[in-house]
Amino acid sequence: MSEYASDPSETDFQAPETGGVTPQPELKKYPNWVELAKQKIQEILQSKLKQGASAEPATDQTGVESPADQVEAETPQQEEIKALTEAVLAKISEQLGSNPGGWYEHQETHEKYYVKYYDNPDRARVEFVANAVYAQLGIPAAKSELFETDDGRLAIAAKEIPGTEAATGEQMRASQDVRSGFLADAFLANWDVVGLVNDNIVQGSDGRMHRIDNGGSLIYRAQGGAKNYSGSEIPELQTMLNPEYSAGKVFAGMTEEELHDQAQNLVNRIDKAFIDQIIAQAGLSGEVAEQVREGLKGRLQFIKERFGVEKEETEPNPWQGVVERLRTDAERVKGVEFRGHTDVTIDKDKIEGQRLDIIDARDAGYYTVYFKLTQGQYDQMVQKMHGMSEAYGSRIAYPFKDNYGYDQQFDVTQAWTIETEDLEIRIAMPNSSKDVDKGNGRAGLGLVEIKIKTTEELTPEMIREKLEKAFEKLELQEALTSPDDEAERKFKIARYCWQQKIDEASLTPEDIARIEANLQRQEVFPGYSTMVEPGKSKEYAEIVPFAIQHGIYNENALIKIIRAGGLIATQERFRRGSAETGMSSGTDMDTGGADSVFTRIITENDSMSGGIGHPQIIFNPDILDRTDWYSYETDKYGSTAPSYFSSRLTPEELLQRGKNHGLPENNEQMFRYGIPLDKMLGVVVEGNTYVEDSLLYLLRSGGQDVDSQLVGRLIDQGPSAIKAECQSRGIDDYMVGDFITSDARLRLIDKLNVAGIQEVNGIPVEEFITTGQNRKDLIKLTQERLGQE
Amino acid sequence: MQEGETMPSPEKESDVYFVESQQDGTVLVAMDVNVNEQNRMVSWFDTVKERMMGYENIQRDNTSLSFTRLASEGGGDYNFQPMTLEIYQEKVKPKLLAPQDFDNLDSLKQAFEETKSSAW
Repeated sequence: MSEYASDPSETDFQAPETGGVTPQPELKKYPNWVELAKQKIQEILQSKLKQGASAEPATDQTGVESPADQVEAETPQQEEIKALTEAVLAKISEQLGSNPGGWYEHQETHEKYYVKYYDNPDRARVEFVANAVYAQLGIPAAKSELFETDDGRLAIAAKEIPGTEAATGEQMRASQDVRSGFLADAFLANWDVVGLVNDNIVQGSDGRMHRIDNGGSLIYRAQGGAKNYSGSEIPELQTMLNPEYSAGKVFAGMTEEELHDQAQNLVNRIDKAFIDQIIAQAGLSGEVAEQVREGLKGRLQFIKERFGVEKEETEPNPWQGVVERLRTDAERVKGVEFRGHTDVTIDKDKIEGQRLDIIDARDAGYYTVYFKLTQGQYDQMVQKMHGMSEAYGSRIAYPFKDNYGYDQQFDVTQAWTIETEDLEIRIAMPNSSKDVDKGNGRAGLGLVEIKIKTTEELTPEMIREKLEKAFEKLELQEALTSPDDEAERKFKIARYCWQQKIDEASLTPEDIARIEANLQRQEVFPGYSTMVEPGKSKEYAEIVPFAIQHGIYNENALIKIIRAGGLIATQERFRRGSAETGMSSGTDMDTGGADSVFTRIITENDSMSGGIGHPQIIFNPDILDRTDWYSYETDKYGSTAPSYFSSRLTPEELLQRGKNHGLPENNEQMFRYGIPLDKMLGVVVEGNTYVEDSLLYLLRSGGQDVDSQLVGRLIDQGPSAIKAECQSRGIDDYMVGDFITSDARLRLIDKLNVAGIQEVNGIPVEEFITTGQNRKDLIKLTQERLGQE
Repeated sequence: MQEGETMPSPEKESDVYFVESQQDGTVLVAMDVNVNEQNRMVSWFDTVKERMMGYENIQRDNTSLSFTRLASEGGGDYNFQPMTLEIYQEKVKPKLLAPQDFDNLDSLKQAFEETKSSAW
């Protein structure tokens, strides 16, 4: 670890976002509908336990297809799980094929899934691995997901491929989808790929041939028996071409050239790290995991040697699309007068977060590029600057327009400046802070600003060339290279250790394998990426139910958040020229909190005295999947000063404290850069118990009778409906205005409507903004919005 | 306002306070000050975000508020006094992002009030 001990981006090693990276398969462990099903199952099980009755078997079997003839008797356990699952997923057909299962339809989305229950859970895991390999190779096949029932049993579900039709052997022989997957079939020993009666490959409405049942791959036969899956050779390269078998009838006539091309594709897309990753994601362990691992890795090597191919290295181009991204972002934030920005992933170990923040400030005469050096690199840079004669002192300052449209600027820190004809390069001075040890001026530490002077739009290549010149001046040329797989691996481990406050040296090989498998880089805010661990927030929620909130102090702030696409950290807003008042305190710049946005967490066990107070934005708890946030149990102003930072809590510690004795109301969580709008579940305002009476009174002032149900309906429908109704009754506008202003929810909705905002995340603002009486209502609303009630 | 919550006098949301603590350099300005006596928590808006601190002892009079922060939160003494042009000029202005000059208190308070729109 390096850096300022406080920065979540420290020791960042990141993979490129674009350019030459093979697509990753969708390996969802717990999709939402599965969670819903699990929850329902638990509820029903509990209910049945209370009643002392067993679950009723499924009755709705309006099958769309007749069951296959190899039906096995199901155990009572399987019957019960199936019946309970149907609380959310209605069974619509009996099993097809040799394993218990059937077609299910999601009650709400009406998507169809084929769900299989294996007595041996490793069969589900192995089938998952086979499907993931096909996905990685770009071969159309079942996209499967694993889920665990409450009694610990594993099932595998594959989403329906729309409009499937059976395919004949002749059609399969003529299909490029089928033939181009032969080497993968042999690699996986998928003996039953075609099916006994050509029923395992079907044609979808997309015209492509999909391998839909790959359960007979790797170490298992289609019926579940074990088979030898050796890594030392691939006998299937001969046996599966034997026309005596169904596969051989389809694949006969494969040429050496076709096989070579398929081998190259496989070696390009599958490597040892991928094999380890999918085995871990499938949850395979022990001897079975080793059998599969050795088989796959051995066969990979065999293919390399047999066909004389090696992985073709393609140089990722992180600059690809930079200009388009800047344009798109500028368009997206037009309403808040933000400058467009994007990030570029580069480097191995010199730049925090492995990212450059590029802002299109050509309105002011330049593109600006910001990044922070890692601490070791910064120390070296400081030494270098002391000896650089062409560097002179100036300041890094963020220009912005204030609320009145006047040009202002906020001084961040003193800096060394190097100027060329087309560049201004500034490196923050370390002694510019008032008292760094106490946490002052931390947001400026390690900061580098590069201004590329131009009013013309540059191409990505031109931006890169300019930066190469700047990096050469700083002797940082190596930092402009793209991170490799090893850098990505190190970054994952470093990020995990940072958040969990553990020493990397204490990690076991199993820990490292799990981290490598589970963490993935995601763009968590437009133009900002970090490592996330999908599903981690659900583990936290199992400790104690919680909600995440952020208070706002007036309507304009909410309008800005919506228009900007989410909450954005102070430093980033200023860099991008946001119109702000300069009267705000610079304290968060001093503490380091300005690099992040602030939230608080409420748990079920907190003291709930006091009301909602100011309007509270509530967020999707899955933002806790991110690894770039840190937390304090009480208000520390987001400080990253070492004296405070050592007392931050890990996510588990935070929620465990919430579970044990509730959290203090003034706890705080800091999320780097920002939280996007699509993670906002709603806004809760203080409920007004008199609102119905007041509206009734107002309506009656029009001199007509008022239907009591009308009042409640109008309040739900919001200010527009109230205004229209009052107008039809001839009620004065000023009285209507007074009424709307008197109620926090209606006032906020009205402000948004006037600003042209009718919905947020597809939810009408009249629903998005709701009322609550106490903080516990924030947890309730979170659960409601996630469909957990 | 909920039961158990009071504002320091004079109880007006538009009031702006200068906040000082020898032990804590992160405090400066306070608006919308709330005291939740049940939770023993003081909260306020500081021009950037909501601050919230648990207290051990609290004193209030007609114009000011002071409290001792809970030892478990790090302790420290905090003193709130009404903002004046003199205090602003001497102690507050140097710590603002891009400060302005004011010739009357109402304009100063209004300028601080407007920071609520920028607090996100």
